[in-house]
Amino acid sequence: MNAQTNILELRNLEVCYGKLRALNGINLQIREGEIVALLGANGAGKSTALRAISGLLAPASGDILYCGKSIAKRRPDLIVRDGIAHSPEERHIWPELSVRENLSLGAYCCPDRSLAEQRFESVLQRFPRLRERLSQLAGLLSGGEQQMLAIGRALMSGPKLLLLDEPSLGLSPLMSQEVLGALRELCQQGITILIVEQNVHSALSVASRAYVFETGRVVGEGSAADMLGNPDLLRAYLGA
Amino acid sequence: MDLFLQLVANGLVLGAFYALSALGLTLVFGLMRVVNFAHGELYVIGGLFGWALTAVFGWNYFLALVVVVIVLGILGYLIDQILIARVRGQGEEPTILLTIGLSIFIANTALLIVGTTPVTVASPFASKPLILGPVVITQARLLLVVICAVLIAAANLLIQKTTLGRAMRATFQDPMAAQLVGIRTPRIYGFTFALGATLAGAAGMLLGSIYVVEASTGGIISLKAFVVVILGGMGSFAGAVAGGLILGLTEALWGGYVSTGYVDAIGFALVIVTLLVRPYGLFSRRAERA
Repeated sequence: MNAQTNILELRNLEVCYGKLRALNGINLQIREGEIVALLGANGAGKSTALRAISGLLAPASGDILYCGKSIAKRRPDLIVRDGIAHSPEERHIWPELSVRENLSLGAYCCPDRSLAEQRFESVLQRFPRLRERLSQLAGLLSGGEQQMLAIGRALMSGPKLLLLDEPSLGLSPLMSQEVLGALRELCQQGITILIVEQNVHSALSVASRAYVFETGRVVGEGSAADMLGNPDLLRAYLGA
Repeated sequence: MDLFLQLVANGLVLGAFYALSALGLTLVFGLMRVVNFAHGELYVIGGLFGWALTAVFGWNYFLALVVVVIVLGILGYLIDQILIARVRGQGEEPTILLTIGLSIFIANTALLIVGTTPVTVASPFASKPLILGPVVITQARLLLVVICAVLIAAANLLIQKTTLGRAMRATFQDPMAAQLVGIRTPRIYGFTFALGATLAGAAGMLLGSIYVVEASTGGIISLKAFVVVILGGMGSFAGAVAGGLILGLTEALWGGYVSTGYVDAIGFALVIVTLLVRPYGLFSRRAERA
């Protein structure tokens, strides 16, 4: 694998919460334009990896390379400006702001108003349900709509790399399919996606490759097809 | 009847002043969840500073007001970044203890420098009475009511309509999400506290031209502001205005018809009733987190 084509690379990444080590030397590479899934049980360290990439957590050691440059000690707002957007677990929309305000704050780092307006329109085209609810408080939306809002907000920063944490959590199967379908389209538009999922089958239905996490380590990796064809791996690590 | 109208007019004027002096407190609590017991001391600093600039150094009133606003903003920003930042995210009790300590420090420092003598901000407003039918009101008070209304509207616009205001509300509703869209949340905390301090200081200077300013009155100012904010609902601007007017009217009518001795107790009786009947205040708005 040629390092030049990697949009993101984690090298021996270690992250601690106080004295508790959550990531124990993670190595992974994401190439531009692919969808990669991080799989594993609760507490395996998948979300921690995303938080370290977006700058919310400082690595204890190791490095995070984005487009070949280290971003391991960079401030979160600069990482957003660099082109990494993170849609966190449990969505974390602002419940007492309107849908419109939630989206417009997604473009907080974008000084160009007309560009922000353009992104706003394209988010609304992708998720037409949000258009009907622009002036409502976001806390009043359904779970699926909130997920669309969270992804839409992340897209407002115009990311090259999108980090998604459990986008199908708590959604009906139908809504979950709608969200996953949107991810495929985003990928076709050239956005690289790193997705954390507990639902293995929905993750592997969109991802081309996957890494399996267990207690802070990567214990397996492979193409989605290999993973799906390897029932032992699925059973051993994911209980699927 | 004439007495009633006069008392209502006095109450409304007093209420507008109460609303202004409580605005910074409700803003800092509503957005930051910081119960600022040093609010009254920031008001006193504004008043004393305004007095020093206008009465001692002879500056123009409005120039002095601008300087007071800027200085209190900087002071508020520093208080947040140096002191409050250390207990951020540790619940409400540590910030309460911290601001109580800060209030003691500021009050005694002010006593040391200015002493106990009451002072007055030199004001260009005429204290000439305006006679409107049966009601008499001084020009200075009427003008101050207008300034109060403008300040309240401006602060509300800043929070509701500007990008900075949206970033403030976003930061306090969900700081992690705010960081993830690129908001520099430590600065937002600083700006918000600065805004609260600015409003407190501006109130101190404006009202210091009508009433007296004393280094030791911060405590009672804070208490009255808490009454206003609890009546209207912590964090609500409309609530602060309504709470201020209710308190002002009640005090004026009670003082006029019953006795002036217990006027200060009225507010606290109102608070007890509010907490029993409508603990979130008259105007709080809540959206459930799904």
